[in-house]
Amino acid sequence: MSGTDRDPEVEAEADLDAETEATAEGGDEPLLAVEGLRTTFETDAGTLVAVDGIDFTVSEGETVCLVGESGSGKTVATESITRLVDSPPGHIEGRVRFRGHDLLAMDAEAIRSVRGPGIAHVFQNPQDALNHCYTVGWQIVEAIRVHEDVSEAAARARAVELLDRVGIANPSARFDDYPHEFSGGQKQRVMIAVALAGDPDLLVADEPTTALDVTVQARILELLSELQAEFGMGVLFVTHDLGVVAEIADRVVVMYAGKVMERGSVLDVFERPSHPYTRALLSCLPGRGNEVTGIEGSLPDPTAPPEGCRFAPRCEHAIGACRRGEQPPETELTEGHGVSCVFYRDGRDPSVVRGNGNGNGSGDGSDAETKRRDASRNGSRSADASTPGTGGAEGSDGG
Amino acid sequence: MGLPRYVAARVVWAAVVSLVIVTITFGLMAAAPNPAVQEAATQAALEGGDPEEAVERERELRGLDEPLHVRYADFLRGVYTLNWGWSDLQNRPVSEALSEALFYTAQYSVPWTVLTLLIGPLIGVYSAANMYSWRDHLATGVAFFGYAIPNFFFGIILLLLFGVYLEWIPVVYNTDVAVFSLENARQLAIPVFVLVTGSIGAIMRVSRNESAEFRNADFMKTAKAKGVSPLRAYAYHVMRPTMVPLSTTVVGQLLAIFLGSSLLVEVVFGIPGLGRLTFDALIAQDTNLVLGTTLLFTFVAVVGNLIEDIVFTVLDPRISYDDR
Amino acid sequence: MTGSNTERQARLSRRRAIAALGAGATTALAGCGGNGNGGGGGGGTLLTPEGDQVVLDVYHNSASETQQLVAEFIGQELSANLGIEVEIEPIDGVRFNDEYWTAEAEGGSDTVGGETVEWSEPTPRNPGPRSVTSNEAWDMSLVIGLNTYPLNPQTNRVFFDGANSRYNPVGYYPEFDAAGLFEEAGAATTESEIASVFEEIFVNIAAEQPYIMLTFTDSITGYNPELRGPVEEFSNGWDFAGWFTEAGGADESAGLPEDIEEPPAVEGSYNSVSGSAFSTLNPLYNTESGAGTAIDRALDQGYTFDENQEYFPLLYDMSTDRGEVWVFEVRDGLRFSDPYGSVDAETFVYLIEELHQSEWANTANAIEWSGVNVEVTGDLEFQAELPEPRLLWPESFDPLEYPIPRGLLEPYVENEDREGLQRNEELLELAFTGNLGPYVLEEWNRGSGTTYTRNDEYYLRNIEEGPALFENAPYFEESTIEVIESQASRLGALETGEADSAGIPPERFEDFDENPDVSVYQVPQSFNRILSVNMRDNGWSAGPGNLFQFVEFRRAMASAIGKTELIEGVYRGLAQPHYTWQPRFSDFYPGDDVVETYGTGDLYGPDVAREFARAAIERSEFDYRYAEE
Repeated sequence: MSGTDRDPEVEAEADLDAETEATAEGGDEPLLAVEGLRTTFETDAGTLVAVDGIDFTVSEGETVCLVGESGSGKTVATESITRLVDSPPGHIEGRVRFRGHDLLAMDAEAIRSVRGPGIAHVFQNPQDALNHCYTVGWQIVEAIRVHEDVSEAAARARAVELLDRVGIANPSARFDDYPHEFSGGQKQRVMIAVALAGDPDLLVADEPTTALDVTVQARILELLSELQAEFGMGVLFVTHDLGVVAEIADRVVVMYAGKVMERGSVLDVFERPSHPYTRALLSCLPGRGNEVTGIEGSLPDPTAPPEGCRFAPRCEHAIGACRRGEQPPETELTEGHGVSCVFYRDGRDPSVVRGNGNGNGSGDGSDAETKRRDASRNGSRSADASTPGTGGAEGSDGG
Repeated sequence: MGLPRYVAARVVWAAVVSLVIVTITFGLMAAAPNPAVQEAATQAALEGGDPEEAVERERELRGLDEPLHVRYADFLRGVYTLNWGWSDLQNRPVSEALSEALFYTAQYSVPWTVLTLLIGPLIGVYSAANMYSWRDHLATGVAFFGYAIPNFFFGIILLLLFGVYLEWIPVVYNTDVAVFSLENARQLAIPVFVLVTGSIGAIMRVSRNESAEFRNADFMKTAKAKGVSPLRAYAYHVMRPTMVPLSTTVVGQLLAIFLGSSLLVEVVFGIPGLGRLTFDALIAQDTNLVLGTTLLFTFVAVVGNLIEDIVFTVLDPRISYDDR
Repeated sequence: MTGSNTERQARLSRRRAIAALGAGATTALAGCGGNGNGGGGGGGTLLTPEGDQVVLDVYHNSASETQQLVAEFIGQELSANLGIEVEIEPIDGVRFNDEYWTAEAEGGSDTVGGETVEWSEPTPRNPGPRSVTSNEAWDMSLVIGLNTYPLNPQTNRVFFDGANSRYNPVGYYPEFDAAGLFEEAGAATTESEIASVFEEIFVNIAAEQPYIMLTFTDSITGYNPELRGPVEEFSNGWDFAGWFTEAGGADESAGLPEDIEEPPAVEGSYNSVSGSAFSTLNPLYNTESGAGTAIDRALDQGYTFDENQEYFPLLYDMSTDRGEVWVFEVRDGLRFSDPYGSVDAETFVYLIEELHQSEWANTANAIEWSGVNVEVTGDLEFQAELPEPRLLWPESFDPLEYPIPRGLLEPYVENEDREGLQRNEELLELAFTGNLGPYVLEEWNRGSGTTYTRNDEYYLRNIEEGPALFENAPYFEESTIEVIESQASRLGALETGEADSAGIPPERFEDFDENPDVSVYQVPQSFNRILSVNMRDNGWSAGPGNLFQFVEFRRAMASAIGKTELIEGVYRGLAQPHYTWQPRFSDFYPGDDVVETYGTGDLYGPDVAREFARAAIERSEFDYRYAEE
């Protein structure tokens, strides 16, 4: 937020300096650092605050999951990073530093050069994300040739290679097929191929499996994991499915109504869920009896967010302090594990929120353990990634 | 089924449709009394001759005493060899009258159609890209003005302004100038302008609404995320899908306004084209010429539909060739 | 029939009801509607025997604004001066002609002027006696105007040859011996005899008002101001070949200069416009005047009438002794294009005998030659013998012919091939015209008109008669007739100089009169504007007994409508008063001293009109009367 007051040009210069610094520091700066990101929309009903000052980081090769109910601002947050949000009516504030450059301060051409080769997106609905009028090959080639001056033939060869890599059988023949000739899962594979076309450093995957059949979901997740390992990409993964989170995440950021409720490593969040909201989410996991009803109540009106903690109106533990002032500042419980809840501040007793959940808590933990073990079968990646992941979180908090 | 086979099937179908129409026309003509025969009878009666005998002679002269299937075959041969009879209105073969009128009509209707198809969607997409801004309102306003103002009235106003007061363009249409010459461009500029403004409104509106839908489509976000520039995104990702629903409306719409608008514009600007020919033929009850213009418009409609179908399938790959 | 009658009756009774309600108001209006001319007073509305206001309808062409204004004017005048209420009914011209003006020819007999008259050859426009009516009833109409044939008034016989004439839609029974007088005129063998017979006819027509005669509307034509030649005379255009342009412009109505020291330069192009396209340029079959103009640019006809309305020989001279045998002298040196050779007596005789008088050809001029006996009497001389003497034969334009090469016609004559003849390309494209016209037709574009180039060998240059300017005629390199259907565009072309001449509607007269780029000519002509009153049994919807049938009532009508006021108020002065069936410029107009000039001076106003109306009512068996004031 502080960045918005500054002259963008000065900022751009500062970014260049920052990059030099970052290089000098030998890559201490995370791949992506989001600070005070706030995205609002001008609507007829008033100003809608979709994302209200969030911070997070993603390091090279790390997988960060953005978790929350639908409508909690996850998608807007990811799309604000590369400024895919239309403005107007959208308005993005804050700082988004990618490899040391502030993406929000860049001119239109510069940001376009980041989209694709720097940060690539995979969207939720593969059905509509591909243009039905063009062959899939054309759409991959477009992604290549927009950024690189390569020949048609070379681009085609690479596109075929990508199709092959994302698991499309007989890729050179399917190159000339139209999206409607592919199944949903195949389309998402094509979308991933499109995203990979620019060899990105960061892949933003916004619920890439939600629209797909359950059996297909797993394969797509598997593919993403493989590719992440192979290309060494950072991945920012948006989902409301905690099962998926458990499987792939290094670190988790829990969002609610445009605010960050809790963040931490996947173990922190699954084994020691600290925010009432996180705990409520976890209770919705299959086998918890709450999956049908979900969390009672609904998200607050984004044009008039409540005072105090955003979750307070739905929180069974809410007290007077919860409904006053701003969202409570984050309290760091352990290194990299933060929570935004008044019960962790000012000497209140956190066990109230963890309270009668001790048994549950251990249950959560064991369940998460099971999931972790399942996920670990996919290879050593998680273990490798966890260390720099923690380091990234550290850097973010320190900066 | 591949595209070539599909096109072939559509062409065959178009031929069948035209044959059906020609056959119905023949049926109607065979059932109706022939004016020439009646005229002969009347004349014979006036001159004190035998009307019956005159009718027989006239029928024989015109081959009306032949069996129906022979006449049908003759009629078909005539229609498909462009032997469409003699126009009493212009005193020359109908095919000649039609081809000459078509020659003049094409000179303004080809640029008219091309410009409409180019500018209409462009303004529509531009409007959609700037939806609810003053640019959108201006573009919409201009398009609606052209749509709302009667072509002949607008034509007369512009002719008076540019022809009579400013004398930039000739008032009298000159048929002697070369098709591709500055003079021809000058004398056709205003008629084409009037027609384009008249037809652009509907197309602009359709494409505005269609592209407004595609502008917010997920694939536009994909394109943006790929780093595609806004111009390229609109040109490729919005224009192209917009053309699909547009193509279905355009051909029919252009055909429908073709006769009406072109007649009045031809009258105002003195262009000896198809609209005037058709109108004059109807007024003068020149049977052969009316039949000829009807057949011509039928063929244009059939071919127009054929093109529409093919364009539709080419533009929208989701349409299966087998379904139709 | 019944349906429409019932409908009509319902309409009438409603109308009467309205009239009864408004009677007081109407009376008041009529009272103050006096124009001072007839001495004021008059007053009182005309009542039917049942005591209702007399209400009549007047039809006008819905497409003509001028007619609507005239109808409104007549409504005011009849209300003010004759106490008659008028309902104005706009109608499509074609529909009026089909349903109101014409009827199925039934024939029959009736007593006219004490004699029994038999309708033995009824026509759609005179289907029988007054009891034979058209489908639709009507009282008065402005829709149809007629020609008055000032050159050859004998042609008017079709209108006034007694009750049983060929053209008599209104059911007029003359009370003078019209048929006998026309017979006399036809049989006359001297010019003075003819003049005196026609004087009698036209004095009587003025008195009887078979149609209520209103005006002759001037034809208004705009010309390029640099053009020399046009005149504000009926004969305007007869010497078209001698027209030329002269920088600096011409005096209005100047016409061609009497004598010139040096012929003007041949340059530029003469461009005129036509409102409709030509169907055919085949001289044998053309019946349209627009196409006639287009043919005449490339091919002269036999003769014309000069500025004094006297016979002027072009291709042939005509002479007669007593009007029965006419001798045609074909001019020497006339020739067709190759290979058709020269024009001689045989050319015309072959054309007349083998085409016009044949049964198969059905040419446009066929009827004019029926009963005429033609004969070649020399290389360049032939004669025509008429069944009865006609001193004004040339003036009727009946013997006016285009020359057509015999060689071109022969194959069609052999095969009696009418269709082939109609479609012959040489005829349609005027490809045979040799030295016979001022211009050579270059192209006939069916939609956009004709283009011509100068004919360097035009025979008119070598003749002795006519203006000296014919010596090097014509004076334009090129000529065109552009077909422009929209009047606005025609006027635009005139204004910008793209057209050298074009007709101007009366409402634009002032604009163009003030425009220095256009010279406006007010050319008198012979088509009239009449108020037809229906004397048949389906006329006079106001009540029993058709008052139109009485001469006195028609005089009342004519006296009630002010001609000067009409010309000033509606025609902006661009018309001439119409008293009898000849325009004033005609040689056969009897003169204002002998013609009764109804609608002007003493013969205009409420008093004189009501006086005539009372005389008519006296003759009527029904008890029409004027309401007390």
